[in-house]
Amino acid sequence: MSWTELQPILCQVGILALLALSLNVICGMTGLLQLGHAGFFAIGAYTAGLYAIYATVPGLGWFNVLPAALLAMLMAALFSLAIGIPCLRLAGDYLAIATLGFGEIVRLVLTNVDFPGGRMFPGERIGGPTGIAFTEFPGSLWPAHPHYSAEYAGLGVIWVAVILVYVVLLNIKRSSVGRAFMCIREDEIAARAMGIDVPRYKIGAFLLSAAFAGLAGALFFHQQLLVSPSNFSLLKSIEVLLVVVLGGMGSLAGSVCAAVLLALLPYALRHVDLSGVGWLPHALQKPLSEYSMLLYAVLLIVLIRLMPQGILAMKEAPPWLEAWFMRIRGRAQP
Amino acid sequence: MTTGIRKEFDFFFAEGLSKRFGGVAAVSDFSLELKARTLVGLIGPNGAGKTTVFNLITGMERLDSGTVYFRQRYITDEPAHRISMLGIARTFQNTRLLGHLSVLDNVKVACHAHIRYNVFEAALRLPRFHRVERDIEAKSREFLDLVGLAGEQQTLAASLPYGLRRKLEIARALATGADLLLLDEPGAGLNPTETAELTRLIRLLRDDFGVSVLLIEHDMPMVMSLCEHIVVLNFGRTIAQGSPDAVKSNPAVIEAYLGKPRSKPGEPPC
Repeated sequence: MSWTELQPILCQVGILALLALSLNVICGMTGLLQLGHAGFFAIGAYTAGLYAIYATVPGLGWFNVLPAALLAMLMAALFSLAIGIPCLRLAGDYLAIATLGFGEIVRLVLTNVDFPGGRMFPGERIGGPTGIAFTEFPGSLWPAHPHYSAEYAGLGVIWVAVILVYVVLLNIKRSSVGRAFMCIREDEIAARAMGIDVPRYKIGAFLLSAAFAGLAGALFFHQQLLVSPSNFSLLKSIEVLLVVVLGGMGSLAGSVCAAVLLALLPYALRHVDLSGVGWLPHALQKPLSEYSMLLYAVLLIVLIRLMPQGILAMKEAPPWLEAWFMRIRGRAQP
Repeated sequence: MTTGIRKEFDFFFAEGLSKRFGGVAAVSDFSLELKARTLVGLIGPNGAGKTTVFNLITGMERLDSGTVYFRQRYITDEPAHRISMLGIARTFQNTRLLGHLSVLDNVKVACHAHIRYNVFEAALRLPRFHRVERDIEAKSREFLDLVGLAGEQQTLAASLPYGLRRKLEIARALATGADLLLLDEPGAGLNPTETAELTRLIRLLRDDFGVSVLLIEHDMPMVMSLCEHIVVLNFGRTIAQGSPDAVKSNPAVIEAYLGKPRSKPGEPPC
C-alpha cells in the first residue's frame, strides 16, 4: 500500500478518532447513551461548508480552517443546548431514542433544504441530497493556496486536532469536572448528595461532546471538500459508539486506539493473502479481499467477547505501561 | 410559617415535615431541633420513616409540607446539591460509592463544592488548577487517614470489603465540608470490633471536627452509648424523644419494638 493511498485513510481514521473522543465524554464519562452523534458531526461539516461558500477570507488562505472550525464548534454547541435542555431529564433508553430522533431530523432537514450559491456558485442552489461539493475545483476554496487538496494539509491538521482534543479532554477528565461526570455515571443520587448539580453537568457534558463533534465535522469537510447528508446516517452514530465501546467506556486513549484499529482493519484484511497456507481448508487458500467484511464482523465479536470492558477498560494506559511510567517518575524525583 | 427561632436552636431546625407516598403517610409532622456539636439518634422499627426523614432533610425527596432551617437559612425545597453545599451531608443505608473510581477519587469528588477553578483552567492546566488540586488531594488524604483508609488510596472502591466501604462513605460525607452529618445505619453489617471503631470515630468527629451527627441505627448499645438525645419514630410519627435512659423506659417505645402485651399469658408478643 502506497503513501498516497494510505493518506486519505489515515485522515478518516483521525476524524473517527475525534468523533469517538467527543462521544466518549457523554457516553463513557457521563454514562448517557447518545445515538445522535452524527447529527452534531453533520452540523459541524455543513457549518464549515457554508463558511467556505459565504465567508472565506482569501487573505487567510489555509488558515480559514480555524474560523470555520470555531464556528462549527459553536454551532454544534448551540444545537446541543437546544436538544439537551429538554431531553436530558429523560433517563437511559428514552434519552437514546430522543437523540436518535435528533440525528435523523438533522439528516432529513439537510436532505431537504438548499442554500443560495453565493459567490462560489453564482446562480445555483446548493445542498439538498447532493450536499456541498467543491471537488470539481478544489483550488477555489482557498484562492491564495491553489494547490490545497486533501493530500496537502489534511493529515497534519487532523492529527494535530486529535492530539489537542485528547489532551484537553484528558485534562478535563482528571479535574473536578471529569470527576463530576464520572460520579453521575456511577451513581446519580450520590452525585446529588456530593453537591453536584446533576442537570447542569449533564448539559455541560452534552455541550462539550457536541462541540468537538462539530470540530470533527469541520475537519471532515475540509478533508473531503464534499459533504452530503448520506455521510451522517444513523449508521455513522452507531459506528462511533462501537469505537467507544471497543476502546473502553471512559478511556480516551482507548477511543483513539479503537478508532485506528477499526478503521484500518478492513483495509488490512483486504491485503491478507492465504494462498500458500497449506494447512487451511482449500476454500480459504486465496486472497481474502472478498471476505474482508465478514472477517471484520467476526473479529469484532471476538474482541468484545475477549474484552467486554473494551481495549483499555476505563484506564488511559495498560497496567504494564502505567507501572513503567510510575517507575520512571519515581526515579526522576527521589 | 415559623417565626422567631430560639437562639440556641439556630443550628438546625425542622418543623412539621410530612411526606405521603400514595396512601401511605411515610412521615407525618416530624419536628427536630439540633444544637451544634451534638450526637442525636433516630431510631424506630423498620419502615418507620427514618430514611424518608433523611431524604426530606437533604432534599432528595420533595416535602409535602414543613419547613427546614439550617444555620438560620431557610432551606426548604432547595435542591439536594445546594443543601449539600450548605453543609448537610449524608451517607446511605446501602452504600453508594463510585465503584469504578479509586478510593482517593471517591473522596475528591466530595470536595466538589470547594473547587475554585473553571473548566477552561482545568482543560489548559493553568496554575490555579494545580494549586486547588494539590489542596484537595492533601485534604482528601487527611480524611482517609482519619477513617483508617490511608493504605487503600488507589484501590477501586468496588473491591473494598464491607466495613471499609462504610468508613469511606463517612470520609466522603466529611469531605463535602459538612457541619451536620446524617448517617444512615453506619453500623449495619459490622462486627463488634468494627462497631467499636465506628463509635470511636463518630465521637471523634464531634469532639475534634465539631460536626453534629444525626444517626439512624439499629444497634441499640451503640446508639445508647453515643447519643445525647434520641428520637423514636413509628409509622412516620415521633412517639418519644429524650435522653437515652428516658427513651429506654418509655412504654410507647417498648410497645413499638416488642408489641402490646396480650391478655393470654405465655403467648409471644406479636
